[in-house]
Amino acid sequence: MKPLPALGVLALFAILTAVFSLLIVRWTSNQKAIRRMKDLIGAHVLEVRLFSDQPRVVLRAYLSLLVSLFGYLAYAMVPLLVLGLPLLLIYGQLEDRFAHMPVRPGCDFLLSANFATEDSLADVVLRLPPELVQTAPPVQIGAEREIDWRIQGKRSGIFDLDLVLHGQELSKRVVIGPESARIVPGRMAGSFWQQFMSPGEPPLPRGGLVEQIRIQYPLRLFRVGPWKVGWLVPYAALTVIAVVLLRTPLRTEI
Amino acid sequence: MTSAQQRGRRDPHGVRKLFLLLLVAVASLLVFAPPAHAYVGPGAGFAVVSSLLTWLLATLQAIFAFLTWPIRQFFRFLRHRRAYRKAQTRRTIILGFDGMDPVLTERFMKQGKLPNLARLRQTGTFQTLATTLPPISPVAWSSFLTGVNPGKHNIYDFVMPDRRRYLPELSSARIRGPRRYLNIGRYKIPLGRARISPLRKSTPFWHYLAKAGVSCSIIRVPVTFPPEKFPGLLLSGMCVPDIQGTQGTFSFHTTRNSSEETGSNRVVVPFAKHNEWFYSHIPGPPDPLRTDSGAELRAPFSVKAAASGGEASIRIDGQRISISEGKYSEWVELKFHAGIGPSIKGICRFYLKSVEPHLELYVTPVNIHPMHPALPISHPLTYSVYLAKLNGLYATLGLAEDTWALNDGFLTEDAFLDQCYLIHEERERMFFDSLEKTAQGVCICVFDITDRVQHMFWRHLPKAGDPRAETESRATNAIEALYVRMDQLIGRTIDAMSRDDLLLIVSDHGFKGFERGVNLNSWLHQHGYLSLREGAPSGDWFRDVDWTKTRAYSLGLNGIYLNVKGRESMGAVEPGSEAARLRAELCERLQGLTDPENSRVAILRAFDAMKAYRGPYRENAPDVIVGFGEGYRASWDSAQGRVTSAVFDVNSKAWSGDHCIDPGLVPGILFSNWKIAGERHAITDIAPTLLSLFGVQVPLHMDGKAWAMTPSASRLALQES
Repeated sequence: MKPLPALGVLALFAILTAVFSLLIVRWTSNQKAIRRMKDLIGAHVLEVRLFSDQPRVVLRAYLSLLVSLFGYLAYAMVPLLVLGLPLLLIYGQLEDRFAHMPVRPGCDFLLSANFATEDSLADVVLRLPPELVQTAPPVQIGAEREIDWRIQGKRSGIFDLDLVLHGQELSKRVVIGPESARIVPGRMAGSFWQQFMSPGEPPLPRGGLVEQIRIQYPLRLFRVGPWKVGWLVPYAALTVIAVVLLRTPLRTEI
Repeated sequence: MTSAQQRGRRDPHGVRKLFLLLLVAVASLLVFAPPAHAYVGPGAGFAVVSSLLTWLLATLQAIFAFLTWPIRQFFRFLRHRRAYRKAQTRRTIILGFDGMDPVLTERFMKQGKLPNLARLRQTGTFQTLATTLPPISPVAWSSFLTGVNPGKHNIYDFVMPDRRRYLPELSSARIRGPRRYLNIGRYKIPLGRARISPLRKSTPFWHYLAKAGVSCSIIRVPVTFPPEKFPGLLLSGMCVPDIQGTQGTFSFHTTRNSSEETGSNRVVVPFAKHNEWFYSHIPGPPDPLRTDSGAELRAPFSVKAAASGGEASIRIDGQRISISEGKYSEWVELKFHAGIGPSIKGICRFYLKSVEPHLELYVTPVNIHPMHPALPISHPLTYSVYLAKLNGLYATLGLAEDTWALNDGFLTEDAFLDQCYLIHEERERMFFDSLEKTAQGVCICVFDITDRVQHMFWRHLPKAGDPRAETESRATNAIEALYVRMDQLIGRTIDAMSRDDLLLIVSDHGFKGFERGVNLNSWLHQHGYLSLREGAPSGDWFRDVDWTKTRAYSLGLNGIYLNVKGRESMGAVEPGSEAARLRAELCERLQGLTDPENSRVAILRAFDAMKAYRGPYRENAPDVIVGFGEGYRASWDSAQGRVTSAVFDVNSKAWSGDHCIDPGLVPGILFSNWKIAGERHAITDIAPTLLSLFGVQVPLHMDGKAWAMTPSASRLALQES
């Protein structure tokens, strides 16, 4: 069976996100109060129009509108807080899957590694599986404690390459070809927050000699009319459309 | 205000908590969130984005309104520079109380129960206000708003006969379907909108005022449906139909009946039981997509009685409503789906009459949804939407207080009173909002509760000095409590007024008891004016009348129509002198008709329409108008076109007070904070008086005369007392 195109999968995620968000909003918010606030906002907007010849009424309507808007935002805050964490998780997962494309077989890509000290650069050894070949000698950038390798994948697949430094082996996964696998550009020795946002590969040991290993994957761009945009734009747009269409059947006031 | 509305409107504790939460949330976001993750999700994102958009739009609209205000005011000044220059008052407030009776008002004032009205009498004016012939609300309010006699505004009753079919039709408006349909088998697709034409003629006085630049807010004045365009605000009142196009058809759902039963104002639908749920449906409008007549749209619902008893939950259109025995629900929004086309939206309230031994549920007539009106009910169209968004959903039906449900025993007296006051509270909110927004100009609101409660509770009204007045029965005190409540409303209105405002309190007619009915059709039959087919019993709406031999028939509450050749489809009376002779003969024979049961005069006067009215629409009037004596009215059978063996009968219905009698017996009231010179003022005088007060020329066709009014010291006295 032919796999769904990326935009199709993204649309599916957008619908699921919309349903999930609407249900959370429905369960965690004061729906009656939100509706009341929305009605008041509508009433004050109409008031400005209906009594436009009376500046005093218009001014008061406008002030009441601001109060209602703040009230509405206050009532929307609870679901916003509840939704925050799961949506960030979803964001992290989708970023790994949709932000980049795999490297094509036969095309070069850059592998960069940053180290804790400049002294370590000379002792680093790169071990490649037979499907990957180094196409140029490594470049050392002393000031940034970085080494860059130019590598090429011979065939499609998911491979692990290893960096060896003072007997310590650290691997990084590389995706070559059309596989729709998760693409994690960087493996880093970061904080919990960084790991939370990029959960694709285990973090590098804290306080180790290697701070970060990165692969420069090509960006995945979606065509929207004359523009090419990242995944977040169509995802956000599709989610908004799904929310608008589903809020009535799911009886959620937003 | 219901508790739910209160919760929704003002919950300072909850709002404070939420603001605290908001602060914590903002702080958390500032501390923890990395800048890359600005996307906050659809629900919450919507809240922020839509709030910002609304704020932006409203700001633009407000800025536009402010910036263009001087320009608009300049043009307004050029166009209406005389609007307030000659005005004797900056603001006039008219409170209309349908059917408020001068005799009862006087009695309760004497007892000290109406302090605000007593203040007005002391410092301003209290008089009776002559009503119209006949003294029926749509007739009298039409004269109020046009300043003319019925011969010029064309309203003579709630109904008028269709002269081709001898059937009643609404006198105030005609609603017809679109001109064209696309027919596909059993289905038809309407190509266009429903056509609504007003049948009331002549121009309301607020049209003249608004054209002259005076701001006008008109709320629930009867016979303003369909709403006519004018440069002001108007919410239609009496005569607005329900979603079925009737003047109010309620439904009653019960486990007692096994088959559906349809009456003139009701549908009784049996419940079907399945497991613990009882299933039924609310009848809706005719299906606009079906060619077969009789196909109606329905809103199915189910009810489950709570195990604890006394409560039930209702499932309808995805909503779940809990309701207690003897209580009304909030307004519930309904959708009637016509195929895959757009749905027709309405609102109703449920009333759980009983759970055991029979589950009985009353559903109010389905009102037109004020936020999504199927027919226009306001001008501009957004005014009804604005009121609903500001104050919550409200009754839009013309005759919203369901007198038929009490009359036929489907509602208890308590339930009826509860319904009336729920509706009245909505009207009060609308009125005070309108008063607040009308800094200068005219603000008019008519309250109907006075009419409905007096109709239904007159039989409980203790006579003056009757010791029953001291009892605490709600029914016995219903009318007194009603007057006290209206007095409080007047007090709040006075508090909201400025010293220069003019306040007029008017009613269209008074009230008297309705103890015995006179069947005019039976009288006409017994005296040879109306013939039945040989051997046939009489049915509703003249079913067995032999029109070829009938010279006169009665339809409605006060009118007798001649069966004139060329006008009626099966006319038997020559127009001209023969018709004039017959009118005179009927007037002579009916006038002074006595009740053999007690020798009381049942008909005081009978009026020849050609002499009583003047104007271009006199021909449409009933030919003879009957002025009943006190205690009498057209019987229920007579009003429905049925001939019975007896002319007189006892009225045993809850509907025990009425005003469709001789107009001299039921004048209305007139209170003002200003002194009004002279006496014997009439309801037709109000329109020219208002025009005159604002310096607008009174059109020559108006029959009323402007009053001489003096504000002088009375204003000070009222404010200071």
